[in-house]
Amino acid sequence: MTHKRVVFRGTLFVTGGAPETARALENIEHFFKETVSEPYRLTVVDVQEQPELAEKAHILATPTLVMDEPVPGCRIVGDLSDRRELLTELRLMRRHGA
Amino acid sequence: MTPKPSQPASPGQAPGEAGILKASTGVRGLDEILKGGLPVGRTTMLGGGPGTGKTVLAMELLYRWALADEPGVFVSFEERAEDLRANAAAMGLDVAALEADGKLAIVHADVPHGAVRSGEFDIKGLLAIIEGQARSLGARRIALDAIDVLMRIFGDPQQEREEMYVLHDWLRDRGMTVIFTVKADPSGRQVYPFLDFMADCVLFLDQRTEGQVRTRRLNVIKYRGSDFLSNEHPYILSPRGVVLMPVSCMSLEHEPPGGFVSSGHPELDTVLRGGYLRGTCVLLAGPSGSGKTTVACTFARAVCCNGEKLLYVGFEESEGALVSGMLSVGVDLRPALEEGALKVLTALPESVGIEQHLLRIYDAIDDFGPNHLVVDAMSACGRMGSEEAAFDFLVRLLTRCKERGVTSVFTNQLTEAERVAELSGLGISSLVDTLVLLAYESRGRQLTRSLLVVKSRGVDHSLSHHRFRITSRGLELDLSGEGADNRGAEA
Repeated sequence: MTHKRVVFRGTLFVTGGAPETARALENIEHFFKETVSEPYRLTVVDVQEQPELAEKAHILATPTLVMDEPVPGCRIVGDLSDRRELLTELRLMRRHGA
Repeated sequence: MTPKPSQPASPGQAPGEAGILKASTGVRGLDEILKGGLPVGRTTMLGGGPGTGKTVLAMELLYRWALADEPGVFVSFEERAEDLRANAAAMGLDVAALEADGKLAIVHADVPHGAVRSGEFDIKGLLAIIEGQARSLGARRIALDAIDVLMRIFGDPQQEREEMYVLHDWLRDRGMTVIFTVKADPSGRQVYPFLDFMADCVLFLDQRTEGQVRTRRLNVIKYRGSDFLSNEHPYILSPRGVVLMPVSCMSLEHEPPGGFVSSGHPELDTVLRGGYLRGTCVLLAGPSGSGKTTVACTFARAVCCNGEKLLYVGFEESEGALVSGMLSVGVDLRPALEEGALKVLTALPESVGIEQHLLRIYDAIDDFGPNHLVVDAMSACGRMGSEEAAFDFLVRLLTRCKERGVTSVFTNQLTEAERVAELSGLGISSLVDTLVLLAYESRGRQLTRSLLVVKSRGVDHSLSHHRFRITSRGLELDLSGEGADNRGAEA
């Protein structure tokens, strides 16, 4: 299997201190390390610290993962415990045969 | 996030009769219905079908509070900020100016389509946005517009409910005064019935069409800890914002200013024993062509010559047609119009609903400040939708005139078949103080006009039929039938 060099870039909007936040962080890091062995860049934004960024990105629910790359990007709401959804959205389903 | 204690009340808020703190709304007529205003630090729901003006009312509430130095955040889950500003501008609300002053903020909290759910989440993002904006403005007033759209992100009735209570409690813990709007289906049912229970105050907006004329009505469903005016209250969306017209606030506690005002015709004044009583209601009834408009315009010209102001509401002809018609019978209204003592307001009765007619006239009364009012002809009001609507219109207009001490002269066209019992028309006879009946009959080849004062409260008026003519010099009244034995007074 040949991999195209894709840089994943996205932002995870969370609410600091919430149990879903820890789960979401754990899930996304695990996902990128274990399932996708490609470079990624993830920014974590606490909506309480930076509400203006949440407003700009129309983040009503937390956690919300907003992926900008690969284009056209995607938006996943929740603690990312459903890895299948995550894979589908990141267009990796077929490549990884999951 | 640590909850802040409830904020103390700001100036201009007065405890209601049950100790509830209320914020005056500044929306015309709404405070009367709500007995002071909306509950401070609590949640009010505005429900209603499409096009009822929920969003505009929510925006106006925030706007008026912001004007009174109580900043607010308007969170829209549906319309874009620029659309909201444009719609508000059409209602005379300059939202952009308040935004520039830091008194009002619009947040377009777009609910993204096509977001995928993976696991658990909550609406802390929204709360953070609200908190961020509220903190930077020092705002304690929040509007959440189209909360039904927000609920779509949950896709689970259980979670919808839980998250709405989280939102409600969160706002309440911060002492926020909250208005949220929610759509109802056309049958008037709430899509989310639990919201009714959650809110402390529930207002329902509704619109319906009667006889091709649309009317909007507001109904207070509940108001925890407070009294309110029940019934449905007509309202309109006007270029000066939402205007409510509470029917039940009309009082009968008004004193006429007293004294007579000349009818503009010395002989008619003699018949009336002085003229019309100031601040009372005069009805001129008679068939078509009997001279009602001439009598009314004779009065108009006379009061304007004496430095008083008169508002003439015409439902039958244009200003130009009225002026030239009156010139032919020697009543020149032009000087009064030029001096600005006479104002003519014309409208086709069926053009708009009664609330809109009323508002236009109320506004003219407020802006122009007339001493007297003529409505020609009230029989045309029957075309405002229904007989009931016309009655409502007349009673409210008449009451407003009495409250303001404005003499009101109504003309009413009678058909041959109508008997004395129906003379005063549309059932308002008991509110009429003076009733003058104009008639004509054919004797041989001659048409004879006659005038009879049927009643004039508290005045010992003539009870004779008086013959009169309408010439190019105006009315000519024959007083020869006048005798000492035919006088009477009506209680």
